[in-house]
Amino acid sequence: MSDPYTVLGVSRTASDEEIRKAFRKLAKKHHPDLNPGDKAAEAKFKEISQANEILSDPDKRRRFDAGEIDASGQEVPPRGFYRDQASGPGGFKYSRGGGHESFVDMGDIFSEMFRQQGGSRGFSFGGERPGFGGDGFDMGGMPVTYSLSVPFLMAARGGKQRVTLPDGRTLDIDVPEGTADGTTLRLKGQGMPGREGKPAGDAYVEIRVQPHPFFEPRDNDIHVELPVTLTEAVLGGRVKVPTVGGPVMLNIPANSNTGKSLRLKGRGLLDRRTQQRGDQYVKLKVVLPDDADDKLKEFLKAWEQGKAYDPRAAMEQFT
Amino acid sequence: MTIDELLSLHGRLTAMHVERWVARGLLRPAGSGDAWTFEQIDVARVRLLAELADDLGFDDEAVETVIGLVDQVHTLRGQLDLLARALAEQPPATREAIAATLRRLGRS
Repeated sequence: MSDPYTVLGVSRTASDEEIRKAFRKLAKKHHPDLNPGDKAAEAKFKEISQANEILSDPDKRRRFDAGEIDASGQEVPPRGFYRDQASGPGGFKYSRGGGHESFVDMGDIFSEMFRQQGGSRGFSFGGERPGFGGDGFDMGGMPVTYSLSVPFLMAARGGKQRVTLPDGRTLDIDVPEGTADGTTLRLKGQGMPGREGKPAGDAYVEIRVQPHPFFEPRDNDIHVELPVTLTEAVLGGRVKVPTVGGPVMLNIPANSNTGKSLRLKGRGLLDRRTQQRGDQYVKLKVVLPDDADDKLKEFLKAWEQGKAYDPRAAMEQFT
Repeated sequence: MTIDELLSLHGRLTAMHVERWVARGLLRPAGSGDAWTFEQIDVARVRLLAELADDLGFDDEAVETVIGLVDQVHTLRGQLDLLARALAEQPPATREAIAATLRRLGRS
């Protein structure tokens, strides 16, 4: 790791202002989002950021000068840049000239361009996934897009799904834990073979997550309606609740009504970006036995308050 | 994600920053008013906007100009990429003819 003073091009006695100016000047030049096509910009920017991290903090700078920390001791955590998103499948959102339509227009622009240059009948611009494909004109294989439907629990927990491709090959696709509906996975080199020894294109697999009978995902949280008995609702108790990670025990407080919502912290889906887990919300639903026995009937006949309270009182103000 | 989740990801970011960017059309979350939702690309864009303004010291107008140019570069790259893919679908003879033309035009 290079000396931060050398990286920023300042003297060891530089003032804070000089350091800030030097960092800004270099960052403006090397920020990866201001150099979308330059892969080397990321490493350069990281080096500048790391140097600035030390020299812009008086305490770290003093410790570096005193030899207490070295230049590499300040690892900048790996991060993504806007360009990764802008060149991905969602990138059309901020594309100049509007959304999807501009890609249709563009086909016209290019066809026009080629017509003018020598009477070609124009190319086919059938791509519905802007931004992917081989770099430049390397004539590598074409990318291919598939759609794959996976069970809810496999997307939640992660797992391998074997698929058969249209050309007869089988492929084990690694579905990562916490895969959201609509996620696109990239399978390097699984697209169309390249010509004349060029590398094969990539395959893109769009994951469709099948709905689950009772786990209902909202963002990274999971909502479940949990049937409980009348006894559990009135007296409270511990019940087993299914979660995507397996069953857990839940304490139901005494006097819990239908509709009461309880939270199981950290039992939701994994957020792949923040690596944090959502929660599971359990909504109680009091369920009577299919056949009420005579004892229950007798008890209710003798239960005075049960005839006195009106659960529909609140409805009157809305009618 | 919601605006609260967004703000919790970026320490120095305030709701005022975000509202200003949305008002100026630099950021386009889904939904409206109190119920904005930010997709992955919006989250990454917020980080870039914040860096342009704070770390790189661009003022409001310069940020608008820079992000506008960044958008144009990505649009052009997307179009070039499509063109490259269309070329890759052509028969080898056509692609070689185009490559030869490109070399010739590049020299002049």
